[in-house]
Amino acid sequence: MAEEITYYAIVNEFSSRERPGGVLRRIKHDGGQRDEAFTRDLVWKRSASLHSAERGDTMNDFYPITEDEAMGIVERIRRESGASS
Amino acid sequence: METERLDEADALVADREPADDQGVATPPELRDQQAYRAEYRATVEAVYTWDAAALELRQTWEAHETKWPSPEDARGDGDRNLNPEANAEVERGCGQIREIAENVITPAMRALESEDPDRHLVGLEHRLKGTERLKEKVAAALEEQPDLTPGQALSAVPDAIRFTLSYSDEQYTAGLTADLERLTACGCELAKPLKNSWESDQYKGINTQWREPATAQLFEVQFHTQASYEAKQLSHAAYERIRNPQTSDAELPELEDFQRKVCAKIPIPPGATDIAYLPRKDRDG
Repeated sequence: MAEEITYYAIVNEFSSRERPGGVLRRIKHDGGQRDEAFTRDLVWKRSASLHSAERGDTMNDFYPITEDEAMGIVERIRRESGASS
Repeated sequence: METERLDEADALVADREPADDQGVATPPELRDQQAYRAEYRATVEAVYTWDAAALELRQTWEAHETKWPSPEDARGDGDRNLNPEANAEVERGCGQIREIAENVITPAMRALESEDPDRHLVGLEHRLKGTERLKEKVAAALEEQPDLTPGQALSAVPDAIRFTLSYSDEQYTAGLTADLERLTACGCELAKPLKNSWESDQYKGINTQWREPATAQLFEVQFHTQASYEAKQLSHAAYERIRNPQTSDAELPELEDFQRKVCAKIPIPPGATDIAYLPRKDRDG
């Protein structure tokens, strides 16, 4: 099976659906799935945040978004960090 | 697990009542009783099934640990460390949280517990999240949400102070609903809609986050049955491994599968999947 990627906006009390605090992607593959968040180091890193939310953690809300929306958040984080894309 | 056995006579009545070959309609109150008895009987049977399943699931986990030796715990190391300023801020915050927990929120929760002898606070010794785990959570938030300051990240952690109320299956829905009202009546504000995970395949229970009115400190209250609480404990090691970045990609699906197997065996209390509760600001429009 080809990889299937779902993107999520990360929202908590200091952010909103219009301006999410971050972005996470769940990659489903033959062997299972892995989650990665786009980090302040401007790279995707493995993350357990979505899994924690699925296990009842209420700190962050995760909203499925399109790839374009996800790339918009990535671009905003890059821009605000002072890095160019 | 101690559970009241369904009375045989109830079972016989429940079996007999729906059959009316004279075509006489069953009165609504009798239908309600029949439905209740059927639901109750299913719950009692499921609770006995859970006890047997828990034994088997513990053996399954032991086999998993033999197959996959525990990975080194690398959380809190390397790039997930907080910088010295953030570390100091979180340390200070932890001190304040401990003080509020011990002087304000724990006494209030004990008072709430005393209002109904049919359910109890469980795991009270774990009401304070450990400082290292709190730092780890703040570090993850700062890494994944670059706009956050350390103070914001710490204040957004809802379970630095957490409590669990455990109910019998048959009293779960009514007892929980009464406790939501009690928490609201003593001035606590539900910070976001309750999280009902009874239909989830990775976790079962209801988690809520509240704001204590005098201090504005967030705290968490989880609502469980005995089985869902035991299941949470039983699958905790699997969850820890899922969170550990050193856990191999190959082990992850087996860990998630184990959590699914545990959850599949938890009896769902009558009415639990329909429970919803909104913060006052959302209820009032």
